[in-house]
Amino acid sequence: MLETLNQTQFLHSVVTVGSFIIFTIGLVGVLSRKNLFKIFLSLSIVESSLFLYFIGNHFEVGKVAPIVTDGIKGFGTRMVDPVPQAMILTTIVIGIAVLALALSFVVNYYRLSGHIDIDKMDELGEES
Amino acid sequence: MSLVYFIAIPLLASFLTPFYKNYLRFVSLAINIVMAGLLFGFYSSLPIKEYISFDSPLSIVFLMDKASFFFVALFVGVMLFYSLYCIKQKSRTDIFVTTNIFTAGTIGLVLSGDIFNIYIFFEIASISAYILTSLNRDQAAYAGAIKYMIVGAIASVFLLLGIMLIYLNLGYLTLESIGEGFHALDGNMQYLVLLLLFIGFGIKAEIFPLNFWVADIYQAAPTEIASLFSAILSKAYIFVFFHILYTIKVDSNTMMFLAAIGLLSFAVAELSALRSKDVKRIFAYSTLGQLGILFLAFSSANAIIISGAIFLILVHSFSKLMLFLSLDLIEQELKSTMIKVFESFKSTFLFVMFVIGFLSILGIPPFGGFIAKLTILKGFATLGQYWIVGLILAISLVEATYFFRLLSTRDKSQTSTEIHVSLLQKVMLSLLALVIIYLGIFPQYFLQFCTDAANALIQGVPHV
Repeated sequence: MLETLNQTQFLHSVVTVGSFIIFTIGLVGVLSRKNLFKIFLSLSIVESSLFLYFIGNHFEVGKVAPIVTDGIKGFGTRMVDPVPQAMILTTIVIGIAVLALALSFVVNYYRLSGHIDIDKMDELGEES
Repeated sequence: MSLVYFIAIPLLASFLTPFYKNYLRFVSLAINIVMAGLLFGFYSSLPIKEYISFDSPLSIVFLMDKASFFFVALFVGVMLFYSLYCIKQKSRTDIFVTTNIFTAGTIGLVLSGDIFNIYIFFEIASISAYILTSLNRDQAAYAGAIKYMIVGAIASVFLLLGIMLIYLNLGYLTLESIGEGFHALDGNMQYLVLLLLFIGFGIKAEIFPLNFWVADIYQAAPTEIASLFSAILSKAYIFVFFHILYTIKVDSNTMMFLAAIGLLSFAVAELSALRSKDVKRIFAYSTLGQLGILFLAFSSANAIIISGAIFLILVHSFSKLMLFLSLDLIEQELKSTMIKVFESFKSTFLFVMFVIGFLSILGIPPFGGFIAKLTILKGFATLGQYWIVGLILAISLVEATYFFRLLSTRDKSQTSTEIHVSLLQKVMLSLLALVIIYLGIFPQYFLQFCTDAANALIQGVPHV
């Protein structure tokens, strides 16, 4: 029983299903919330689900992190692919920058308008 | 010499701002002149492929063939004119910190030869565009920037998922390797990846079902910035999208779908412009319409049509730059961009600029837009698709309706405000107009270059 749980394929399907659920939670949040903070939080959750999906699907049972340590002398077959981890690190940094910029816009918008409700955001359009 | 300079120079110029804060406008002008000079040096050795850090298939790759050369030259040219325009604008000196990053992002986008770098430059260009949108610092500007960020974040999530699926299934990141391995994928997976890329790039390239937000963003952004969005940003995304599609050689069904989307985009945008009362929004809808034609033309996989489209990109970028900057001059005096400003401004020079811009976009001789549209229509006619020719002409009539409505609202008897245009701005706007007229009268040399660029685009990644 426990042996089955430790199969690469099983872990991949758990990660895929899990990240899909998180993706859906985030997407529902983006579409249903009215609070601007919660919308950007939900977008952040959607992004996290992608990170989880990508990293999780590159993990294989029996392989270690791609770092040269005591036991391992070179980059061989016992290591997982380092490229996705480098990519995700870059993407996380970009995501943080975008989130920080978005929240600064929200704060500035709140100072000028006194609310952060997306339904009341009607400054733009034909009428104004 | 290396292609990295085209990204490094504007980025450095932006990050070193504290050292020359008071001369920022002149520095920006200088770096654009330097980059224009560099470009001439590269022209003779095209196509160029440059690997940085590792070997293929995981390295960072920069590509420059005739098509991407055209786009880099266009962006540098537009920024050069824009810097000239801003030298007399004392109000916003800090704008160049962001526009330089914006230049680096868009140039990086068209030069990148691997798909993860495309994502990074996609984000750099987007982030600088968000900041540029909010520069008016009033309630509407922040509302526009927030709206742009929500839409942009969704686009980047879908693009990222597409890129991840490509890497998970193929194990490559460079466009060249992806182009070779893509057809080995399962059919459904191919369509899923293409759909994700279409959503990611389609939102940013402002294509019909995904462009509901564009007019609001143009309205929220300062008018001079809207000119950059119209002239540079959307074109960079369209080019990258079709560069990827031609590299992985998608089937004709996908191209048919994209052509239909383009045609629909053209029709919907021009019809939306009819009921608009804000000149800025009218220009935004007109941009969307032209992007629709570009999408239709690029998805034809025909060298004649695509050469017309590349011609149209140059003419449209210069015309829209001219129109938006002229509108900006009026807005500075009258504090409004509603249609009624057209009744009350008094400046023969600006009026002539508007007429040249409108006629060029409509495609009336002797302006450059005529040659561009003629080449596209000629291409469709040689393919035997006369119904597309008819539809384009019919929808162009709608375009003519609102442009002539704008011009006819001029009323000489009303009290008018004199618009002050400085000499430098006059020279700069006249130069743009002269380029448009020159291209309309002597198109041969540039058309020849466009054909080469179109062939380079259809060929995909160059083999060096």
